[in-house]
Amino acid sequence: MRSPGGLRTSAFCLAIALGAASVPLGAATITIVNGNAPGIGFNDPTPAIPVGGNTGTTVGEQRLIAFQYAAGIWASKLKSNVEIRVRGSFVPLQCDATTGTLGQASATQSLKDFPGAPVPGTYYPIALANAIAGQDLRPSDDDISASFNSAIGQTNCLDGSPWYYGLDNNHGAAIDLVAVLLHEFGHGLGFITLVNVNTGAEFLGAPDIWERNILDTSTGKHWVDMTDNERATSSLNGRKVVWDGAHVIAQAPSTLALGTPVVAVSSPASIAGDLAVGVADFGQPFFAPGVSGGLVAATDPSDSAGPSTTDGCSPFTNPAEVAGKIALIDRGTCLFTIKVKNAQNAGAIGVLIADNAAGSPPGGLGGFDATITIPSGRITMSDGATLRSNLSSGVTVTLGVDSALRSGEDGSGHVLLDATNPIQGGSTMSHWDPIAFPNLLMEPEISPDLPHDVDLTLPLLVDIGWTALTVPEGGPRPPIEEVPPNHQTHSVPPRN
Amino acid sequence: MGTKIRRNLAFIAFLAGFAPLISAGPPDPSSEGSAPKTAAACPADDRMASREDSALTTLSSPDSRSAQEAWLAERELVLSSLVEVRRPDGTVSVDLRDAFFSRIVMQRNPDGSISIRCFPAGSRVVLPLAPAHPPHEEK
Repeated sequence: MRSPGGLRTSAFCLAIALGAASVPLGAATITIVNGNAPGIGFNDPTPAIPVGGNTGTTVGEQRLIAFQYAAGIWASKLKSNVEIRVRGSFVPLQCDATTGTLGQASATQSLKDFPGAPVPGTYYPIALANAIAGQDLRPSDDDISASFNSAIGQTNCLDGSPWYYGLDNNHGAAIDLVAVLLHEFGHGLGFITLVNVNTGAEFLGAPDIWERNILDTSTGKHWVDMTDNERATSSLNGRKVVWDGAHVIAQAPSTLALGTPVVAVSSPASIAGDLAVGVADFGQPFFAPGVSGGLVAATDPSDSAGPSTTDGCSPFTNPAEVAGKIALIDRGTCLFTIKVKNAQNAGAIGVLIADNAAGSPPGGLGGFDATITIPSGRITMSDGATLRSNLSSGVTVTLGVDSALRSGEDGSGHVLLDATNPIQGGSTMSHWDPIAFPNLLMEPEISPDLPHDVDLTLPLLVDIGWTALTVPEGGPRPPIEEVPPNHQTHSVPPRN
Repeated sequence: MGTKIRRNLAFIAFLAGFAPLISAGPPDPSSEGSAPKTAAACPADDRMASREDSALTTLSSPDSRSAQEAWLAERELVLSSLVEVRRPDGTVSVDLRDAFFSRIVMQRNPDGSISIRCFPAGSRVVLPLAPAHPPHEEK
């Protein structure tokens, strides 16, 4: 339902009134509906110093200008003759000193069988349905709901990590509101499936438009053609579920870099092949041709640092065997950085950490230690067990890069969707696989290095039915349209 | 124990929050390069690397599993409250009632780094986070 009229505000008009810097022009009109009461959120009168191109002089003004700036980026990419209304607010959300909700957003409505619907019996997010229909199908409702945490950076709410309201992406250690908004607006515009990824059940028994482009390369089936059980199984099929929409396929080569980290096993022949790996935050990144060597099980004492003799939490007891080799360590008990540092101190040239819980693809290794200079990565528990059981035969591995494979593609030009075992609620299937590089806007994690760009998100939205204002790089032209000059005014048309 | 109590209280709060929603009935019908992934080419592998342990969940964490189960139960309740409304022109609409909120959660890691990632949510749904695990520690 729409916000009360008294609180409704056109962010664009307000930005103009506040003397905001340029608001990007676009054929779509995205209006921020101010959902805050006087004195709070967007109306917070606390004085603020203009920052990073945000000319607001109160906290509330700066929040609203950042909202409108992010909305303007999307508006400049999409074509719609129907105003897109984002009901926004800044309110206190769940938070403590180390963890907090930054914000949340979604489409407010899902529609099917509307006038002009390209695919019958299929759910579309309301903003897209409106754009396709050329009319506001639910004029009494806003289209996207977005609320953000007003307490971030305050006492006992991620203290010391405030929002950055600047528009220039120069956020340093602060949280770039514009990047988070771009991500959340992407979900609100339709970057999401409504399928229950745990059960495979479709939303109210009907497919959503996403399912038509989700392809499981193991079975060759699209989600829309699967049973519930098949979709549930597919949700777990990491690195085998892709987006096969034509626009994404066309733009992926100009977006994703060549080179995907890999562990190549060259001997014994019985287990030779490539293993998936999650690389580390720290130490030397994987590179081509990589680091090669024999794999050796590291051993350490069972002590207070770690009860297992294979956890690598204490200085190794077999440094002579490890020196010049790649150390195999089990996950568990202590920091990843401690394990790898102990291996480095023993003379290892690389480290593989075998997961201690079933799942795939393998997560990475978090942490920071500037003194670590060797490469390291995590492999699945299953792969770790296979390697360990073959050590007596002599295992040779390379921690390297598959230079022919784009980071985030499957080798057939399809971009990988996020599929994990176990399912990561909230991210599975509704994001890109985080292996993508450069980092993409719609990965499960928002990377601090993201530009204010919509990368592969835009062609994906075109794949589901949006019309883009500009031709995505490398993308086919239809149904992309050039913008008629008279549609380039970012205005707020009267309602009702 | 504290965590469990918090979660139970939160779940009760969730149920209380949905009571009026559930009893409200259906909604108003009227209305190239060739560079491999080298140090220079991929300075941000940390995003990928920190995915699991820095991502507020730990595979082996019972709290994480409980949170997931609680979320699933809550989600089923939310979804069961959604109603299709058929319009005269044949359009079928569903008020999602924030059931598909995509929630962005930030966690500060013990080493000072931060992780920001999407989590499932509903505006009235208790945050399904496990308690703050030291994300780079293994337990």
